[in-house]
Amino acid sequence: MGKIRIAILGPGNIGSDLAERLLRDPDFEVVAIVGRNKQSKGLERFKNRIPYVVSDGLTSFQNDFDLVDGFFDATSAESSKDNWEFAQRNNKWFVDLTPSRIGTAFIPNISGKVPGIEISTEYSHNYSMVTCGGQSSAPVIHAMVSKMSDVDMVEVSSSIAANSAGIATRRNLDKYIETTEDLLIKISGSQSSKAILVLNPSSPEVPMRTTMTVRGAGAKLLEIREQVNLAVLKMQKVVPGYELVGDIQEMDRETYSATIRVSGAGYFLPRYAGNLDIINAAAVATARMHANFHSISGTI
Amino acid sequence: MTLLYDVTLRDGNHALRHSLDPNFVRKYCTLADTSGVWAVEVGHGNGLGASSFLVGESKHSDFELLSVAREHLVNAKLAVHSIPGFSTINRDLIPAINIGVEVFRVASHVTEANVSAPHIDFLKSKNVTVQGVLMMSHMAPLNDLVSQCKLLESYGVDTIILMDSAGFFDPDQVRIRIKTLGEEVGTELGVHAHNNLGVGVANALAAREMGASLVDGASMALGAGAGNAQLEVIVAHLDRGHKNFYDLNQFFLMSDLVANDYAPNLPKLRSTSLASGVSGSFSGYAPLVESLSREFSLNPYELWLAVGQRRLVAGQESQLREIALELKEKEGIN
Repeated sequence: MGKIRIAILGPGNIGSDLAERLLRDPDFEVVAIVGRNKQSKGLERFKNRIPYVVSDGLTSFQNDFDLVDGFFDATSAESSKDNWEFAQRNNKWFVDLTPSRIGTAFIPNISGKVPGIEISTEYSHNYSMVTCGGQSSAPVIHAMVSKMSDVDMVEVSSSIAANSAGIATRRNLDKYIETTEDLLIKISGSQSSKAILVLNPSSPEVPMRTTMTVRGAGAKLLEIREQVNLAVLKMQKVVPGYELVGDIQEMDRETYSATIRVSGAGYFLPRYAGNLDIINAAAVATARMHANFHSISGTI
Repeated sequence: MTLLYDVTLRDGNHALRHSLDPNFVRKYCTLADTSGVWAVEVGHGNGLGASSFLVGESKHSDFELLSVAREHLVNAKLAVHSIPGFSTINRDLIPAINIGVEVFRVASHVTEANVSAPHIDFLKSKNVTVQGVLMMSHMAPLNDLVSQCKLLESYGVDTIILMDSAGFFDPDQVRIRIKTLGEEVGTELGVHAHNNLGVGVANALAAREMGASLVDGASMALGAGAGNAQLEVIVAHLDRGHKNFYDLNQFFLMSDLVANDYAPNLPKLRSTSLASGVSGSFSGYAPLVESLSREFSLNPYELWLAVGQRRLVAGQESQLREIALELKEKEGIN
């Protein structure tokens, strides 16, 4: 199989980190990075490193669409709708890193293990990377509930460095919470779910932490520990800075809690921004899985 | 005249581990309604929608407590505390509006006021009173505090409330803040004081002296950590300058009701609360810091100082265990 040829939409912090990451990844060929501002520092950064550095929007790149297989959208929830329509019209796959909620939620490490979270058989598909709280917690929650029955409550609380929460995140905390809570129900089958996000302004910045708590029946602490440890090891292959903090807590005989810390790989974003890093790492893993599936099945 | 804002049924819920009983809400609201307090705040200690494994589950939901309070308040306004990141418009604010809540406090950490903008915008379109709250306000230097207050002012809040969530301030520190903000910001100001350093009431009075138009208080000081500025004591002081404006006896009845019904939960200025104030850490962490200190055989004062050094904000309960673990490793205790 040849390289996966991609374009990155949005040369902001997320898009720049994604570009640095993919430029170092032998499976990918970064064909284009697309912005809307000629003065963009992100575009300037990639001028002689990416063949197409486009400063006047996706439409000006459309004649060269044949050069790419799919798109990463790191623009904004508002722009993502138009971008996806473009991609769809041109039969491209699409990984959405914005909180638009247009695509289907996808968590690479539990693909195929939860109904609805799987690689699409349609080539032109929109995968949503959900939220940092969802992306960081889903594999561990999945591991915990696999050893429990009658789960009635799942909770995920994340604290992230205030400097890593851009203005879009701050304007959309409700959307963050609702999207994460929907995902938690989907992966756990729980009756109810709760997501909490806390911004921590401390200096120096501290990496993202996520605490996951599940209440249900039939659990044995040792079994849960074993499953969670496996899930964490598997996550470290996608996100090296992903680690368990302390041990799983048995809060009472029905309630179990685990905390993870996520440090970023530091391609472009600072290492404390594990919340942003995990979205980019998941996006790359998603694209790789989608491309593998479709070249193997011969649809392209 | 200074408005009195009664937080007994909200901050007091920290002292009750969020077990506040609807029957108590009914009795307390009946008394408070004719006391002259401007508003009665009701709900989980961390506000609307905060019931959780992280900060403690409510025994009775916010909506159950608010509905009971609504039935027994005619003169005093019904109020809630709400932190974006815990609460959402759809899940929490809209149901609260439908119950008849009249005053909404939208709260953020002192340096993060812009997360409050969407909730403030929404509430302003619903014709309710909206107050902007800066929690842990001791953690920002004065110039940052001014710019955060200007942000809240630009969102159109009716009042800006400085919360001394760690009970860190002394009266002079309150005076300089209210004086400066009075000069720099046009919006009405209020102060929410805690008693960790024994000056909760003095801080409330200092704020009033410098022009704050609203002060928070709780009967019997029922609140997180060492408790809040004690409401009936504030009133007794105000009574010296404005004889018979408040019916002090009514505040005695409210105080006695709390003292009788929640005798085991009354806040005390114990060493651990003092340590939280000294370290500038969120008062609401007190129960967890105490239990973790026992679990890991740590000196609670050392743990508070470590929490203070990490500059944790409210809502980071899950990090306390991590800090305790690290402290234990550092001390080499097995």
